[in-house]
Amino acid sequence: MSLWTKRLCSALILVAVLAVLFAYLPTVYLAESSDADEVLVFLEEVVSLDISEYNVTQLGTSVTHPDWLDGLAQVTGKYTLESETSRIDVLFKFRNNTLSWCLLRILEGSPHYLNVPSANIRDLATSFLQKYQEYSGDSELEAMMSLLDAVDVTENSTIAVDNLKLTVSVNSFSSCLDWRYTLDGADCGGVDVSFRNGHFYAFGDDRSYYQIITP
Amino acid sequence: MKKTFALILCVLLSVSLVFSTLILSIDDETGSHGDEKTGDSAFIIWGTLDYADETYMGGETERNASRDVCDTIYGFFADAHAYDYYENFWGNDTQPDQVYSNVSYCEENYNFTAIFYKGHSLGAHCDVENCKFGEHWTLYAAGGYEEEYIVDYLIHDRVSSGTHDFVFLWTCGYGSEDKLGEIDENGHSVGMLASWMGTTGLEADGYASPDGSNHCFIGFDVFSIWFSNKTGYADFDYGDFASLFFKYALYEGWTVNDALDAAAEETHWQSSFGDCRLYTGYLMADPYNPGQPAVCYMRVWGDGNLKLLRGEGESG
Repeated sequence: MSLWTKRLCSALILVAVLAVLFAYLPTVYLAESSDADEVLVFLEEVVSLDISEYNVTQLGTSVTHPDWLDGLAQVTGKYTLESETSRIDVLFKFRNNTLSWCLLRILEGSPHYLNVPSANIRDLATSFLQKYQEYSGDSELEAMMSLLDAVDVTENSTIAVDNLKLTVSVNSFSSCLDWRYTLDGADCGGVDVSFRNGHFYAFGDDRSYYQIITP
Repeated sequence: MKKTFALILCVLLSVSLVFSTLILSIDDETGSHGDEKTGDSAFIIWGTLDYADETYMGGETERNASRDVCDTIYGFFADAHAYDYYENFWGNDTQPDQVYSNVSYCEENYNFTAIFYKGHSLGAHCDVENCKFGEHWTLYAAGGYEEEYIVDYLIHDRVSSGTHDFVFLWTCGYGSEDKLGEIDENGHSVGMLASWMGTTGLEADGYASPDGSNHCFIGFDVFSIWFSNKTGYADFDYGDFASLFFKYALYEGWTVNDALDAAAEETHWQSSFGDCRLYTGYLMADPYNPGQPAVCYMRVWGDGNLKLLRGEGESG
């Protein structure tokens, strides 16, 4: 093989490798985004899921700027968590750079926890708020915890103190607790969490962007 | 020498960038979304033009919303490049004979067919000899009440291979247990689920307990909610819910359940489909009991883990 042929082959190989790298660079960047990693921190610190017990696979994230968010980015993604005895899907959305939605779907077995959760909805909700406060450093959650002490979480009920309202909805599928600020009687941003069969199911926090989406 | 090397490097980088865009465009043309691959799938939208009654059908506002949302959903399927055949027949093209012949066409040519219908329901009787079902069920065609309807057993007569695996009927009643239907020993059917899908054994709550059947039927128990009805959260309406459902199912490649959850979270105060009023119950005006609203539900039958974005490992 002549020197020129060798150089040509080397150049072609280099072109091919660089082309593939350039083509998939955005995907790699998204797959390793810190936003997505934040979901795992939330699951461990707030939901008390023992992430170390799982093989974690991120199924990709997408970034959009939906009209209703008035230019803010929405990052949407999904993880699967698998161990020999447990399989879980985790859906999430970040809005305004904040984790605004997380849903945990238990597909097989019982989840691996760092601490076994209580079977009592009040305890589950209290623990969730405490850990969410530690995770987020958000002092507003204190008032939400106070409201929780004053309501029966085993049946549909609503309680309001000042401009904060807690609505408890219990149905055959789940128990949902929704803390929401009110302004002149209208609902505004807040936090909601639901539990299903004694496990965390879904969480939402729209306080960081609710003012923006209000018509 | 250094200049020559730098020049060669620049040329190589430029050529690499050109090739990288080619790789991405080829990926896009073949409809690749991550690990998913193109399947031999069809998606059809049907819908009536008849929204004449303001009180119980929603009038022109609902008709326009139906047209716009169906256009949007069609656009998602076009963008996704994941379906070999997709058509939006909302409006004048929703004729009974066209529906029946399209059922035959999809059954014969595709391993997976998804259907979305927006409109209204009505009972009817059939003239089939020895029919023991009594009342049959129909969908409004383009012309609505005054014209010929799309009849359950005539749909089923065209079902040959059982590949209508996802059927979403945004119309009244056909998600309720007493209207799912059955198929007799002669192959004569009643009810929309049984007629489109050729089965009667789907799990009653495919959202809470997906049955792994690879068949999913979504319908309404009692009255369907209008696209133009507001969800109460921000400025969203149920047309937004419907279009977001398909967006998440196609763009993210998520399961029916995932897409329902993501659409519900975005358009409602609650963070999952199971917590929102489509699942827990909402009130609609009842034409049979004026002044007494009826509690209604969206029902998911069968396999909530079904994916509309067909990929490896999914059979028809």
